Amino acid sequence: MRRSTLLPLILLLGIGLFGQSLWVIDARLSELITGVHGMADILSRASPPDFSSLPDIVWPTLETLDIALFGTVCGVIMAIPFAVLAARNVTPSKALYYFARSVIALTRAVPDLIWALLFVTAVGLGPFPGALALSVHSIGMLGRLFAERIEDMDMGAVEALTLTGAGRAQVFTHAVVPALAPSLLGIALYRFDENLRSSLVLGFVGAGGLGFRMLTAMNLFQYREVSMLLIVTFLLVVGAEQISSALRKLMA
Amino acid sequence: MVHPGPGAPRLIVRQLAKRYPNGRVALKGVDLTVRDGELVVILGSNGCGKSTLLRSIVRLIEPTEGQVLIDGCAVGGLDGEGLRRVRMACGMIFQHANLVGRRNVLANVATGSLGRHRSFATAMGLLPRAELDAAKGFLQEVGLVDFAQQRAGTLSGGQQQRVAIARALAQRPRLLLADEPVASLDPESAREIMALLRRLATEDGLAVLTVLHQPDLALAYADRVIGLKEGEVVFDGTPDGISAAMVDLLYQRHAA
Repeated sequence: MRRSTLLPLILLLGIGLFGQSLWVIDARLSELITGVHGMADILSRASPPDFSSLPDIVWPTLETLDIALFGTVCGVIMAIPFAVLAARNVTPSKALYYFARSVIALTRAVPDLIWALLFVTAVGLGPFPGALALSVHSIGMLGRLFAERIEDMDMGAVEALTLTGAGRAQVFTHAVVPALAPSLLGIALYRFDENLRSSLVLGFVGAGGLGFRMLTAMNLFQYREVSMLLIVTFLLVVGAEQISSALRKLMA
Repeated sequence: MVHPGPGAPRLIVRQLAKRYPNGRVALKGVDLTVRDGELVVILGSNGCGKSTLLRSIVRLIEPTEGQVLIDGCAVGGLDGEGLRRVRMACGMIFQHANLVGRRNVLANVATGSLGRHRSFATAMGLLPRAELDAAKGFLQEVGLVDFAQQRAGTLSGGQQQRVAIARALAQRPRLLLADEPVASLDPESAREIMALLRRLATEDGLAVLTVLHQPDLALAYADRVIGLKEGEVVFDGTPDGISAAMVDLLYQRHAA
């Protein structure tokens, strides 16, 4: 088919696709417009933010941060062996390569909320299943990025050290680790950012922390507390982002 | 310590041949010998089999026929531990220094000795402490002792290549194999590296075999030149025995 006839066809198809999405999600712009005063109402009831309960949220904030911290640290520890197996240039065998790739794909494909539900059945409600969920879900993203870094690595130093008669473990710790450590740390910091946001969402479904606090306040119509929690959340996320990007720059 | 002339044969290559799976024949029965204290240069144009030859010696490439003897020990039948020991006895230098850029120069040199210090601590990434003084000595030998604490990645190309040589020395080799060690260096640094290799052969009695691209450097520094063309030795003799016509022949394209 000619390009000139193909292009309008593709455009038409795209418009059709988007059209069906409007129908399926039941998009009604009119209601959004007429309902806008409802949102304005909530906003007015939410201001000014109520900072009187600030001391009460120190613990939930810590919980949220620590769920992300645990998830990231355990995720990194578990992702490294899978990444080594899943990197084409260092994997010991084809079978292990495919095994590791599958584990990485699976942990990434299953959302952290589902992992959390799975772990709740094992260890009950609370921050711990949330933290476990983040660890497992992190394996996917970390494992894939780590494996990519290992595949892109300059193999010169590895070959040179192998030829000096150094053993496999020595080559790994003396050539691979120093070359990769900074970029792996950068990826891990970036992952911490994402885990922090996920940890807030997991709070909504029972992992505790700020998310749970927010859900409770919403259910009790304490909108001024909700807005305070939103501000704290915002500061937390932006702060973590700033610190991690500053650290990443420092290491580059 | 100055060695009186060439000594015992350190490396003997007999009828070495390599045929790649795709049918290309890179080496057609190469013979050569390198003695202690001798600097031998292999000359030839691109694709003449120089690198294949060097890599076949330590079995980075598996030769299809022939024999390699290092210190009288046949490399062909070895595997695992035996091959590791033979490789330890021969230091290799490549076109690129292949240092770990983020580590300091001294650490890079000391890693050359890892093969002799296989312990839990070195497997965990620690350097063999006993080797640090020796490593400084090797840095002294290549003239870079003042750079010991600098990150290797910050050095110039020629300096990095000298660090790579110091690392090879930390292996305590008796044989040095160099694959186009000056190919990516400026002429000044190239001469420095060649002078260093020359000195290691003459003063320390190392057997040095290096692949080069530049006939002028070969003529200036080699004890012996081996001309390789299309996988065959077409010249083996002292630099003053090599004629301009021979150099032309070596660098001629196949279908001349």
